[in-house]
Amino acid sequence: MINGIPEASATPEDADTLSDRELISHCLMGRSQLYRVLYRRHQTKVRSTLYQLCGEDALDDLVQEVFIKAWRGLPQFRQQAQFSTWLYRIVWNVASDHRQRQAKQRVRLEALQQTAEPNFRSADVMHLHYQDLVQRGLQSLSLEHQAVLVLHDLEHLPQKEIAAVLSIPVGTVKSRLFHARTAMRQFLEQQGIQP
Amino acid sequence: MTHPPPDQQLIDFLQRYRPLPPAAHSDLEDRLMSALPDTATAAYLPWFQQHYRRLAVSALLVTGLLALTAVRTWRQPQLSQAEREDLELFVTETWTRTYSDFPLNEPTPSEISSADTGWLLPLPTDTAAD
Repeated sequence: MINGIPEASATPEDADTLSDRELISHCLMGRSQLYRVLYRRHQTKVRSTLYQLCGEDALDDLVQEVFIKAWRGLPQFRQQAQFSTWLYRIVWNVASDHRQRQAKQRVRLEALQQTAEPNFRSADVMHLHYQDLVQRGLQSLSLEHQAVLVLHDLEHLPQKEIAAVLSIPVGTVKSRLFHARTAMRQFLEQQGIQP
Repeated sequence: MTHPPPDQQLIDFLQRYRPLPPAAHSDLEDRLMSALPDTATAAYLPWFQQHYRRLAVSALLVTGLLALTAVRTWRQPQLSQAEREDLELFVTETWTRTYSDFPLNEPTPSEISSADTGWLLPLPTDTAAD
């Protein structure tokens, strides 16, 4: 029995009611199948954030890298911390590494636009146009500004949590958020959009 | 009519038109689960679970040695009553024959002194008299 739950009953299917901490405890006791529940619970936000920060290129591989790094780091995870914050921190590290690799390989943003083109076939053209603008606007920001804007304005993380994820003071988060919004607004205005 | 602050307008716009990530590959979850290294949680397992292979090998060796000892002990020849009696008889006869072949008449001291003991120093007479 772990955390009051019989081991035999904690299968991936009926473990949805367990908290993140309980699931981590099970995983640390060797019940690796329960990590699937943690993955399903957080993969949408991880995937979305990685997509905003890195684009579509190698997205599946990056998501997998995040969750494997998280798995490896579970023994060091402090149960007092929030798992999602800790996971976002790994997302941030993976995204930073990926961007550095991209810079070295001289991968350009045009590649992302080309791979995104199939989305334009069946949906509203203006909507997709604005989506494309937002994506390009995000990519035009520095990674630090991009991260703050995505985590705060798109993923709804509080500033204090963003400060913990990025290991920066809350004041720096506010400052970066201000500059990121200003730059984003300027980009959109240049494209003829007045949000 | 009041307008939302510019920041809120921008946030609303970003949220409405945020590009959505493409769907994950159908087998991504299974790939991830199969790619998880086994060593991540090893440090948190009980000692006997961490070293169960060593323990299993040691237990196997000890069991093998015990089994070998037991087999050798069991296979040691056990004499029947008749064989034991034959053996005793054999030992007794051999012992008796050994003594029967030995000369029964031991030489007397005078025979010894007159025979091959001339080279020995003569005994003192007073000591000999005692």
